[in-house]
Amino acid sequence: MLPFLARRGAMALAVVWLAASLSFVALRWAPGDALDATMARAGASEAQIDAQRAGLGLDDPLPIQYGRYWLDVARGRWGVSLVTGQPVLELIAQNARPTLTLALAALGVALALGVTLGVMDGLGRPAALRWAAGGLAALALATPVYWTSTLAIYTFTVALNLLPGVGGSGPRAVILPGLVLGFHTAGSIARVTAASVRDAARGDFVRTARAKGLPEHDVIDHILRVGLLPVVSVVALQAGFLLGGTVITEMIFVRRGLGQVLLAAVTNRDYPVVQGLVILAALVYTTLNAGADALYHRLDPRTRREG
Amino acid sequence: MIVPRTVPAAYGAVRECAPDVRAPTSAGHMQFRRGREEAIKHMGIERKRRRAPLRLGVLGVLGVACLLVTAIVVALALGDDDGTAPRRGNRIVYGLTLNPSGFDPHIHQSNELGIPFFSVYDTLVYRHPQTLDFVPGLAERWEMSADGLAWTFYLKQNVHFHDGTPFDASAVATTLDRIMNSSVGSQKARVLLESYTGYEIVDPYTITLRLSQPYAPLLDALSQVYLGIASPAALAATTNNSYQWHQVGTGPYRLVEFVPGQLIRLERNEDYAWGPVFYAPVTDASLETIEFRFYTDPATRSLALESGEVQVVGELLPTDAELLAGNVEVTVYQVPIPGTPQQFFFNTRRAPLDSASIRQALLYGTNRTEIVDAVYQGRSPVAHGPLTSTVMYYDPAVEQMYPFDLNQARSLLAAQGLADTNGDGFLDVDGEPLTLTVVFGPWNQMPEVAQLLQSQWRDLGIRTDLVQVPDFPTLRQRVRDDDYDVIAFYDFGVDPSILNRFYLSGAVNNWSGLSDPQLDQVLYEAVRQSAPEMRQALYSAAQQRIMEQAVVLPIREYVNLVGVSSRLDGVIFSAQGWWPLLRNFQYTG
Repeated sequence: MLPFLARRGAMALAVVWLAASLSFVALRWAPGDALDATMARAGASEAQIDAQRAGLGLDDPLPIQYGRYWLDVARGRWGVSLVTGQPVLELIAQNARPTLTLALAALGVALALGVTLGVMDGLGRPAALRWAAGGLAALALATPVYWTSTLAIYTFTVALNLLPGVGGSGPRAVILPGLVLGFHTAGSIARVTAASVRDAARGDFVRTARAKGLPEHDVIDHILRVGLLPVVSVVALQAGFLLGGTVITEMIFVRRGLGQVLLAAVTNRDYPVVQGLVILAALVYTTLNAGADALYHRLDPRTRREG
Repeated sequence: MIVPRTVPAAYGAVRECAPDVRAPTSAGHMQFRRGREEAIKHMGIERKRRRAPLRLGVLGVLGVACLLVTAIVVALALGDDDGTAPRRGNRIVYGLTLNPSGFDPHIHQSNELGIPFFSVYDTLVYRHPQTLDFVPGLAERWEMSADGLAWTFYLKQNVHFHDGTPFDASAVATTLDRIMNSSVGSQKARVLLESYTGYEIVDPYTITLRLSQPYAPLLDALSQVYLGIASPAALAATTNNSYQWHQVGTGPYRLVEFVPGQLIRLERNEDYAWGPVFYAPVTDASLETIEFRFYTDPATRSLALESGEVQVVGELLPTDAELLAGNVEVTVYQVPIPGTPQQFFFNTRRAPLDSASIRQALLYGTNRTEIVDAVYQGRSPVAHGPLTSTVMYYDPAVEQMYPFDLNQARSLLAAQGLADTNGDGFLDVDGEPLTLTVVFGPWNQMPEVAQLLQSQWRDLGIRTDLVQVPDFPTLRQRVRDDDYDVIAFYDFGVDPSILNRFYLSGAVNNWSGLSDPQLDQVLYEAVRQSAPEMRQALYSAAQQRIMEQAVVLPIREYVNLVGVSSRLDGVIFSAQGWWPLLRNFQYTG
């Protein structure tokens, strides 16, 4: 277990470093900088802008800026927003909670709906049940979040006036966006579940179990025990994607959160904020995946001896 | 949670459809099974019962995970609720359309920040929203020295900030010092002050501002929210960054709650007795509490209005405004925003638009009325010159200069020797079709405008490449790379000196690349002269000169479509257009 953890830790660090470095370079390659979005837009003179740029060190060569960035991060300094002047960590702390709420709500919906649909698609009888479940999963995958969001807002807020649609806060406001984002994510979970359960149902152990007259519940239990294993990894993967999915959902449902912050930061070339968010996302992603692998390790005795 | 319940339903399906060996339902089978189990027992072999633990193993883990997630979500979301504050009478929700780009008027530059904070601060002077004249704010009177280099402001007495700090000349000085401090990084306020060099406190209620050269737009700058006077005590108690969450002014409303990205709550300042003449007296219907919330996605704004979530929200989509026109609960105000029109600059630094005749042909050949009708549902005035008709010293003479006239446009192009040599419908330059690169951002329906331009200019025989850039920095990079023929950019302001940054040689936003010594001289002179008649004459000359050079294609005068609940009266906006005079709003809800 210990070498496993060490290996995963090193890999996670590498992923974080790579993600941060790529975004560092990509962002600076993108045209313009934060001062274009703020001072130039307000009509400041070129001299004023240049002075400010020099003061912020934005005119230094890229390698120097890159080195300085990691030195600062190593010393725990995440920088301040070039647009609002707010410390990056404070900005993240202010906005993390609503995003976490939404992502978890969506994950709950996705897990429940995805596994149900997947198992029905994989093992359900009659065939119509399989088609219905499979069709619904495909629909979830195929419909873009912005479309389902608008439809949901229109139906539940404007037409039926049941739920707060845009700009709300509190538990009721998380229901619609959570359902919409969860529905979308459930699609991929259902597909993986269905395929894996179907595979498992063809296994030799299933034939053996039936041959020795095991009751059907027990056979199904055997199948699920094997067939649901990949769900663990796919859920971890989807949890990572959910952080991205919240960007669109937050915008449409006008929820505050990290997605909105990220969008504004990219638009304004607010380097320190984007960097901070990328590192955060990479950390969450690698942690979830390492966690899923460890869990897999425990749940599936077949992988234990090799690792 | 659905999982534990629905998966057994799937078993049910299996069970029903396969009633043979697998199904334990038939009586015979049950008998067989019992017999088998007895036999096993008899043989002394204890069959391990694995069914229950197994089921908990797979589905239980999932079920528990779902329950856990739900619990955490509810807990988090409960903590996120901000609806706990007591709701006083006359409370409205005001939708803002822009979110996290900063709300400190001394530092940040958005127009949006003034929507709440114009009412939190007072400025030294105000522009009267109807006459555009300067009227006393925190200064009861002011005078300019003969050389135009010193402005003395005589301040009102018995004024105090929301935190109780008395207002005096040192408070003005503190605000000016903060804006000019380069470590604060002021994006707009410092730019507005232009040639300001320092101040002198004459006595506790008199302050003199010094300039390096005469600067007529100084009063205009001082009348904007970016130069609102802040409480020195509040500034001292916060950092440059954190002040924006704890702003304290002398205005008719005080900031009581700021949840970043979510909510700004203002409450009425009951002590307020020093407002400008155009502020209405408090009545029973005056607003007591205003909550600002964010509606960054344009499509959601009219939804929020219709569902009654907000009572006011600006920047409605023109199409939504059209739909709301039939709704008796909502009134759509068309608030003109003075400044430059929504416009395109022609790049005079490179061919083919280095030719004034081709630029003029484009002006004649663009049917602006059609664009405004199609894209903005006719809800904006068509623009004709470099300034909107609501700006001081607007010259209506520009309206006659380029009427829509296809024949005139075609003959100007023909006079340049442009003709369709290969019969493909496009005019050719050296065998290549005449092509213009049109660059614009995604905001304010510019993409739709550009598409109409494309089709209108096709009628002139001109091909266009439409390039939509995602954001402002990309737009500016295009300018740095000189990679455009036609580019969209505009800004707002009541004082015509806004022309300087678009048309002075080498100015930062001079995207047409115009370099005209004669125009430069007029524009420079116009900010040095303070006599209105002089400025009027100079700005008339400047506007005509710019249009003679044909460096800009004005499309429409910017109009903010503000949706307002029909139960709100007295809805009025500042001279700058963007900022509501919340003091005058009356709610009969």
